[in-house]
Amino acid sequence: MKDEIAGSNVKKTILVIEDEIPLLKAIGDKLERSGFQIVSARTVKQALGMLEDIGNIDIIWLDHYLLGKEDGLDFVSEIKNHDRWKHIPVFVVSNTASLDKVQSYIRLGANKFYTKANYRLDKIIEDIRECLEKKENN
Amino acid sequence: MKKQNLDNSYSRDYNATARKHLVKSKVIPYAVLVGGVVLSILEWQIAQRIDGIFSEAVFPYSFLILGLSVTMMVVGLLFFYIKSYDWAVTIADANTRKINENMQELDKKVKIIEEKNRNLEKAKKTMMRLMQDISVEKNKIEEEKVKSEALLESIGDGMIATDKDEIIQVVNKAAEITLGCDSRELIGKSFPETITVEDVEGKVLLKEELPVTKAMSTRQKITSSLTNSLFFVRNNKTKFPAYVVTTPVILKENMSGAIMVFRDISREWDIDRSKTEFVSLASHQLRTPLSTVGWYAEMLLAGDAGSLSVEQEDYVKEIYNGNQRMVELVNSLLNISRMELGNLAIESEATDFIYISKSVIKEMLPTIKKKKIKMTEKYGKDIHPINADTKLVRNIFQNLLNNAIKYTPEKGKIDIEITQKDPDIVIRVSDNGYGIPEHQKDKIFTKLFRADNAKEKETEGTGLGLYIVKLIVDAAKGKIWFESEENKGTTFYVAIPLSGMAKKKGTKSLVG
Repeated sequence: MKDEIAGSNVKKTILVIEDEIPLLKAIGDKLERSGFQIVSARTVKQALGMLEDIGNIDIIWLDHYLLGKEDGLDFVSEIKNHDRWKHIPVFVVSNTASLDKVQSYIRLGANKFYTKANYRLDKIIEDIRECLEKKENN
Repeated sequence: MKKQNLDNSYSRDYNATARKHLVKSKVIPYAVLVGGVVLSILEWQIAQRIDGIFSEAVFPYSFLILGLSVTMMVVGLLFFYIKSYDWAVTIADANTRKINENMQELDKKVKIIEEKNRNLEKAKKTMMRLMQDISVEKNKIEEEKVKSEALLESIGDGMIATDKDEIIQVVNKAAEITLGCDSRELIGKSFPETITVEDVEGKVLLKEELPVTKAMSTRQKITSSLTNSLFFVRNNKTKFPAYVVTTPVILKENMSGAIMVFRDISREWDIDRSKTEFVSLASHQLRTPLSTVGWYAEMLLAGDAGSLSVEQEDYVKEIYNGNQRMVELVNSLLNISRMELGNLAIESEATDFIYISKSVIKEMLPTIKKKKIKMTEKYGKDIHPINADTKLVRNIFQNLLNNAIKYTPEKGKIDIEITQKDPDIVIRVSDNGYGIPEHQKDKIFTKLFRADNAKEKETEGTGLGLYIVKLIVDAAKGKIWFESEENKGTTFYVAIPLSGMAKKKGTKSLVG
């Protein structure tokens, strides 16, 4: 509970979309420790439901491969079509290796793409914080 | 002609000889005989008229005359027969001689004819043999033709041959089957007008882009590639990817036509796609548990689950490090599979080698400091950015520097130098570490190879780093080499052409 988002007293809410439960738990724990409020989903449908139900998602942590038929790319194209959600920053954290997919995400408007196994949790969270600060200052 | 001559000369000679002998054999004896007869008649007449006085005185003379006339008659007769005989013999001789001569002539002529006959026979025999040889050769050619046709019909690849005006001349069975049409629909027709070819993106090729046209206009063999396949469109509008090799046919410097050999590679495409998908899936499946272990170890070490005892921290560090090695291995294997499958995309942008070198050193600073290694950097003044793939260049620096650090003991020394040596830019990384054993130098760039001393001194290492660097350097059309002495140190050199790396369309990029 040590970290507070600079320039704001309100905890930021992050939507974590990840299908692997152990990973979801690790991500969730670390984010909470870092001062975030998290909500999670394991399918695109669930994630969209979360967005609907919860008014103020500040940032999205998205995996590519999810449960169900739709994947992360479908989710991103969906939210970019909604005025309410298209400005929410999207951080894609996935183990998929294909250049095509990375390029597709970037083209659709995702902010950054991380290959899970190559990055420490604290590093990704640091970047997320930076991104939110920048947004705050704009 | 000759026969006549023979007759003429024969009769001519005969006349000459005959005349001679006529005089000798007929005239003289006749004359003598007649003379004798006349004399005896005369004598008889004289004896009858002379009576008296003269008869006794004349008696010896009349006896003489009588004797003479008888002798003349006898001689004449003898002469007659002998000479006649003689003459006959002479004539016969002459005739015989003539006949002999003629016989000899005939003989000679017969011999000549016989000789000619023999020659004709020989010639005839030779002709016969020649005819036989020709027949044998003809059969051989027939056989070869049949064989060739059979071969052509049985080869699995489709073959279409055109003349220099791109009119289709030959279509083999495999071509018919692959294209799904009859050869009669194609032979005699113009290639550009009958066969539709598309590129990977589905765009129909223009006449000048068709393999047959290109092969003839460039006078070179044109080959399609797996990633850059051509697609043939069948009459029923279905299409298939094909591996196509087109060769121009040049006879004595003149363009005679082109031969296009093609093969449906739908299966290879499927295999490639499933390989790619497999690699993708495998990497994803492997990385998920690696992420799990890595993140939880990270959190433990950060104290997120409570503080750890010294020993606990040590143990968790080992878990974390082991995990990191696996992550590196998976990344390396993925990169290698991409390079080997030819799927690696090569970007080409202005790349600052000096910037990358500094950045990589910074990245590895913690380890450098920990091992108390003295780093020196030397950068040429004339180095400017060249067109290359930044990620690939970074990978080169990372691998070389990582090796230098790993295989140099504490308090060791590492130099990095970048110079321009036309036509290349040269990177040099030197260390004074363990070196590479002489007998293992030839394997240093092979996959998964680690030298004995490396394995002994440093347990970490995939044996893939230099293999990857070599793949990158080869793709960039550069060179890599090294000098090393065991326990003295190693220097690696990488030369990349200043002209840079050609951009290559691919589906994957490097990871890690």
